[in-house]
Amino acid sequence: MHELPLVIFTVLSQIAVGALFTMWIVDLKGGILNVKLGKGLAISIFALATVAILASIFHLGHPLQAYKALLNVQTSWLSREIWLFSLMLLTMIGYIFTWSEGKESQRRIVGAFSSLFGLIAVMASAMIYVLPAMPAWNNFSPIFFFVMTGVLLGPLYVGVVLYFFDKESLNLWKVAPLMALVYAMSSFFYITVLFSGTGTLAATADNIINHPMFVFRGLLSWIIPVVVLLPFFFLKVKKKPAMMLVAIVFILAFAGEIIGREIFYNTIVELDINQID
Amino acid sequence: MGTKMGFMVDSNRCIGCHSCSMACKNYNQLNPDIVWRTVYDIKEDAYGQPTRITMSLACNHCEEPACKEACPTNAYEKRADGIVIHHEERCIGCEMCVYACPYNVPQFDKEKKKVGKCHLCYERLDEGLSPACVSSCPTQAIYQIDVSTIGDGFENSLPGFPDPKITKPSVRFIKPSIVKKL
Ligand code: SF4
Ligand code: SF4
Repeated sequence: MHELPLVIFTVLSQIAVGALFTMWIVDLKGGILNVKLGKGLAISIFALATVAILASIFHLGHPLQAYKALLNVQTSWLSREIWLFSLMLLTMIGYIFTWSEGKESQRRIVGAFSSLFGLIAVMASAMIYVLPAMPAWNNFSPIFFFVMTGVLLGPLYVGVVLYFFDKESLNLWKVAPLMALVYAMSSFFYITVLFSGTGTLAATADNIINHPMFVFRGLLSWIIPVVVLLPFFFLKVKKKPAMMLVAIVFILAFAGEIIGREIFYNTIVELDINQID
Repeated sequence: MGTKMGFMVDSNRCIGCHSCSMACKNYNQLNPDIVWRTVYDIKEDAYGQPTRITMSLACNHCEEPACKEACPTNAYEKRADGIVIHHEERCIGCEMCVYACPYNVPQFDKEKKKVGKCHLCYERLDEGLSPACVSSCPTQAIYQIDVSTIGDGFENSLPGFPDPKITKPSVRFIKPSIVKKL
């Protein structure tokens, strides 16, 4: 698959940003962890973002010249994206170092910058695809869906790590079923709106629902988090899902997002000569 | 108003012989699966009755080139005469321009791992020659024009050509005159 490096890059970078944001908010609310665990978590997020960026380089015809992609911030969203992810990584180094005793206030400031750079970077990633030449993408949907990947998987990632290393868990698992519901409903409306369009829009919608993996994508990212985790909201006895259950939901939803991104890239119908829209 | 070099495509004259695309391929020594100029069939019923009409298209040297805007390495340059050229040595093969161009013009060369596209044979124009495609057309169905001085009376689109509002392509068309069957 030609876009595999981009699939890996976008999904991993979005998880990293979602996780960083979650971690920063939890820390801000005074909810977290000892500094050792915080530092470990921050390092793991940094590693995730680094792997993502390394993967993206393999999408290029000439990976060793990747640095040239920084040259056109004036108009190119790809250049802007790379700058923003670089800024996120640079500030994250500071963030990692401030995970030590007595540096709470610095940590919260650096963390805020880092999270913000990450969020704008994810939006810049999405803006690359907001193109008149690709009518089904030429709207808010790439931004929304890219952010949704981070919102669904970021808190789950932090939740799973905390679950593994910290008995005092923070109920971060609760975010996933709610976000999966929002994600599923908005995807349903997006596809419906595409179908009500003509030409490339309807053709893209047709490609999406006829993609052989579309059912799995829906099952893994949208249905499983809801069906498995939502019932715990309504249990009479306040009971949390088992650690393993949350970890499995994370892995399945992650697989769902990888498949979903593959569908994103491979179902788009571009404007073409003779394709009257 | 500055010069805006582009192509005139006369679909009334085009007989779909593909000489232009072959001449372009030959002159630019393109790899076998790459074409910079394509001869398209216009939909048969576009003018109300089944007719075979063709249009020969290459880069439109747009006023607002989406390729140039999307390229992260500044590999594209819009010259003062309006011609949009691609500097191959700056290209890293990210294919952002391929995504962005509404006319499917930039082509990714799997051997070079870079893209390429029509540059209106600017080096030939600079020497007072016509582009290779124009020189080869047996019916004079394509020729280079300055869109800023060509005047009205020409079409800026033909059926099936993506919306010219997107990038303001420097291309003008002469539409086919359809002989009505009695
Ligand atoms: S036709 Fe495409 S490649 Fe040519 S200038 Fe316009 S946007 Fe760029
Ligand atoms: S493929 Fe080359 S010309 Fe096209 S956007 Fe990337 S660097 Fe620029």
